[in-house]
Amino acid sequence: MTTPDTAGTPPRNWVGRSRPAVEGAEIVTGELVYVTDRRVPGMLHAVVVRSTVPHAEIRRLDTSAATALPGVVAVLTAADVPVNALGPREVDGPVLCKTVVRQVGDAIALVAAEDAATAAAAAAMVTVDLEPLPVVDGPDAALDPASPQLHSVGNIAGRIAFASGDVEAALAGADLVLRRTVHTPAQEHLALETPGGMAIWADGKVTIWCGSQNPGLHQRKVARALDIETSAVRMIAGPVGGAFGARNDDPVPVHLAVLAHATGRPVHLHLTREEVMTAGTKRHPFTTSIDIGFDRSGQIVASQVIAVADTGPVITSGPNVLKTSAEMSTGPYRFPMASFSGTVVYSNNSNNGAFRGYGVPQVAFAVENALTEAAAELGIDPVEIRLRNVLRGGDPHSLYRHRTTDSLQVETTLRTAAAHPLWTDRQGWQAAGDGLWRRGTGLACAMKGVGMGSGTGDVARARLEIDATGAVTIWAGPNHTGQSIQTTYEQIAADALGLPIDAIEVRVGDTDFVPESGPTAASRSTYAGGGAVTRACAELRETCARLGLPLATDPAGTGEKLVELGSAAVEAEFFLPSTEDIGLIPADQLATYGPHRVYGACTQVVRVEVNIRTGELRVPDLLSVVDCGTAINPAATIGQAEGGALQGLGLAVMEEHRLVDGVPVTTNLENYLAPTIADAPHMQTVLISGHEDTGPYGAKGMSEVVVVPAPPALAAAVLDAVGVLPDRLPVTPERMLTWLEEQPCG
Amino acid sequence: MTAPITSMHIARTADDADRLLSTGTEAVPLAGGTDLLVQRRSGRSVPAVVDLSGLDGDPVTRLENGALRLAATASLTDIAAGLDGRFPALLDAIAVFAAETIRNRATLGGNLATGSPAADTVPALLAADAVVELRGRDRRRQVTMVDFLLGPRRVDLRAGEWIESLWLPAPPGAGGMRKVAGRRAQAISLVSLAWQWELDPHGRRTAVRLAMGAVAPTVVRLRRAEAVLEGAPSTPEVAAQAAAAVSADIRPIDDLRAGADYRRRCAAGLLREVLGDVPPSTPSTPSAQIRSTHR
Repeated sequence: MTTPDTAGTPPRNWVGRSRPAVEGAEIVTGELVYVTDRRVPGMLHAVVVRSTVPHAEIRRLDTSAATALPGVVAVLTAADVPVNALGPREVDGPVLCKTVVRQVGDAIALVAAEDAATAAAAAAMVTVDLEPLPVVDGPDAALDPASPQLHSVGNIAGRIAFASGDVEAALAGADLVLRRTVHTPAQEHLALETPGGMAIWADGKVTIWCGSQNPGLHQRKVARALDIETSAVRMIAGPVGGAFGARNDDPVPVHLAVLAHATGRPVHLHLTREEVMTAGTKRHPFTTSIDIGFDRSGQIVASQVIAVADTGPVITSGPNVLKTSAEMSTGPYRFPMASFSGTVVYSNNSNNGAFRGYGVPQVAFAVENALTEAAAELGIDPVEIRLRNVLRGGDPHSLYRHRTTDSLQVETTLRTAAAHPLWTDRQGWQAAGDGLWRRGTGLACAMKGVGMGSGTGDVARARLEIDATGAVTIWAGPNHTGQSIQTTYEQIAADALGLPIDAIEVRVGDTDFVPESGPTAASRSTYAGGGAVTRACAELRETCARLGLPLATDPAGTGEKLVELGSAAVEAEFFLPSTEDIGLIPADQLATYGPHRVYGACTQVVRVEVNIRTGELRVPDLLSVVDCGTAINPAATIGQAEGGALQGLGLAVMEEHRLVDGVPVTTNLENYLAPTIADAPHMQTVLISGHEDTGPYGAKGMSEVVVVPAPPALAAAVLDAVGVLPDRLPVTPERMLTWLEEQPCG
Repeated sequence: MTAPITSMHIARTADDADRLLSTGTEAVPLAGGTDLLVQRRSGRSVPAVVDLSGLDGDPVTRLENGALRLAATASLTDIAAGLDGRFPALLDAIAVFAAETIRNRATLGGNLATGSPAADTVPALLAADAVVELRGRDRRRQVTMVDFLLGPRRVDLRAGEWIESLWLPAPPGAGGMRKVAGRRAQAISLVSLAWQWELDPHGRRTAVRLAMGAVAPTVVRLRRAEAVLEGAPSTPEVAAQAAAAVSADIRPIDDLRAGADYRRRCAAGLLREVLGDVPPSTPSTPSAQIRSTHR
């Protein structure tokens, strides 16, 4: 049973009603032409020549044999890229490696040929003499002064620290102090469509069809690399088969543009699964230590969290991920004093980048495990200890003391989950288990910020045009990366304009038409893009009101008149509001810490069965209770919740990108396990009523927070089942059996 | 990039298959292709194939005394349907084999010929004392399972030969297969165990046969554990002795999926599970029992 509970919001025609994705029929019938499906006559096929070692000096690069192969049109190296940089800083890395490779899969050359087989054959003929260098295989090596320094700035990609008081002193007075360390692995995004697409160079302008969560950023990256104006770059960033963060840092749009620019021909490039699993970004692996104190009643006295993350060879999202970790290192809890210290290092491991949850799942695993353990130690119910500490809407944040949004309802998600049969029946369910498969139930909660954070100038824009038939077209961002955000924008616009939804068409992801709206990231698309769409619609309605035009009753006549008057187009922007009180953060450092005003929240309940003879683990049921304000499209919201919960569960029980001395070893879907439908629990989702005053129709973001509780809820369920609280993810049968044998449960 | 298959012949009859595989080329018998085609992607060169997937014949033939003949080129889905409840160990194995779409293509012959120590159907066939029925142009051979399995990716299949069928004596009613893997579908076993035995009126196991996968260079019989169990009562003590005897018959290795040490412990644990050696359920009380994994 899944209940989109939208009671308490005023009736509307479209907002709050489940609506299929606008392209849904095309998706399920296979008609949709994804960016990697594009083919045009005369198209070249491209292959990337990549490093086979984690760290080496490029001694010699010989492309002559490859170039001489019949059918080969171009073999490009660093020297062929006008500005060989993926960003303004050295640590952003090059488009193509010139003197050094810093990870397995680093791009060294690009080959374009008349057909795919020739391109592959030529790529194999590129000779790269690599002189191996010592490998920095993780944070310990990175922080060792004797290790090679991977960049001129050293091996530290970023640090962030903040304290709201003397935590050690406070811990000294606590009744219970837990000092714990947890480990969370690198995780694959596993979007169904691997990166790729097409680029065409014509008339001094390059057009790129390639998935992107930030078309404007990729436009600027391409312009920089080709040393051309951004207006000479058109990114058409869809339709794409998934992202989850992986299309933030992806260099493929740049590779495509460089190839098209050099050859003057349409170029197609599509990475294999093995290629993206080797060279693509992952979730940052973390080691997170927490020192947390409680009084006898379970009130948190203070906490100190220290996190160390590995970002791989280039910076991508490393420091920004850590910034989110810092903010969420106090969990969804209110207590007097906290500190956070985080370090993100460079290494020769796979590059880690943006990934749904963005630094929160890692620290939340430490925080929620500590709450679970404290509840057991103090003899307090796991829900009760959370309720005693829960951060309520409007409360000051525990680390920064900034004001949080009134719409925050962690408490309601907790109470709703605690009243659900999966939680209330946990003893009966456990008792009905057998001696072999021990049963347990666990719960965890989380919150996560919506948008880029206070002081960052976060803004989204929308452009709207009505034609003489009354049809409305809206160009809006953030872009669609699999969640069909344009369907959500259409629902918002239909209600905002009072028009039938069929009269509205939303277009996203094309930099020639969509105004800069920032990334599809930070759970911001519905909130930010929806906000911009709402404002564009309001502007049109104001224009109509001023001119006395009856938009709702006579859209065609109104459109005709507006076209005649030259007033048929409007553009609006939505500046995401900063927190109303920045608390302890110095005003000039607001963007450094980027505290949020608006947060979404989620509580999850997980049932597990643990086999005490083999260590196997089964998850038959999972409940998500989600605080997302108004669910604009409840079915889509539930879909996000279920997908996110399963992604979190994958992290909890099986997903782990592994390397040996910097060489990735989980490079295909046979040896990197992610949940299949057979592993998916029966999932139930409850959307609680709520309203975020600054959001479109009361909506706020929820797409990331739903990933966060699953791992600690799973760990709590394992504790309930067999008396062991896992401190390392994923909980594989091998790890589980080891823990069971160390602490036999009879 | 994967080298192309340059020649593919489709066998319409068994004689066709014999002839097509005896032409002196390096033609490889292709059944379901669910492993061979994956191996090609990993770099194996397969220039020529003879497709056996269209050969006619009953997937399962009942013989005298309850013996069975299983077509090696029938899909696992068809084998399972044809078994109609007989041979529970193989039915269990098919149920946990990859996923439904793969089972619609994959065959016993392919699973056997690929020589994987983790092949899901092989423990059941080995425990059942199956005989591999091979043929080629002008020749027929019967090889026991033990003799057929030579090592990792090595089986006693000679050039020009293909596996036509498997013969096995009537499987007893008590039997099954358990697979431990990193997930519940589309996964390679960490450890697997197939078993069969008869229970006498006194609760003693006889004709005990156990075969384990993913713990040695080939799927192996657990001879020592069988000896412990043969004729012995079903007690926890006997189960513990049998579990302790497992390690002498296995030679697990460390690989990406699991460590050798886990495989040993899991192998013993799995046998105890199968023997019903499980403590009674004692619901835990976390406040009293909490044991952190931190050290």
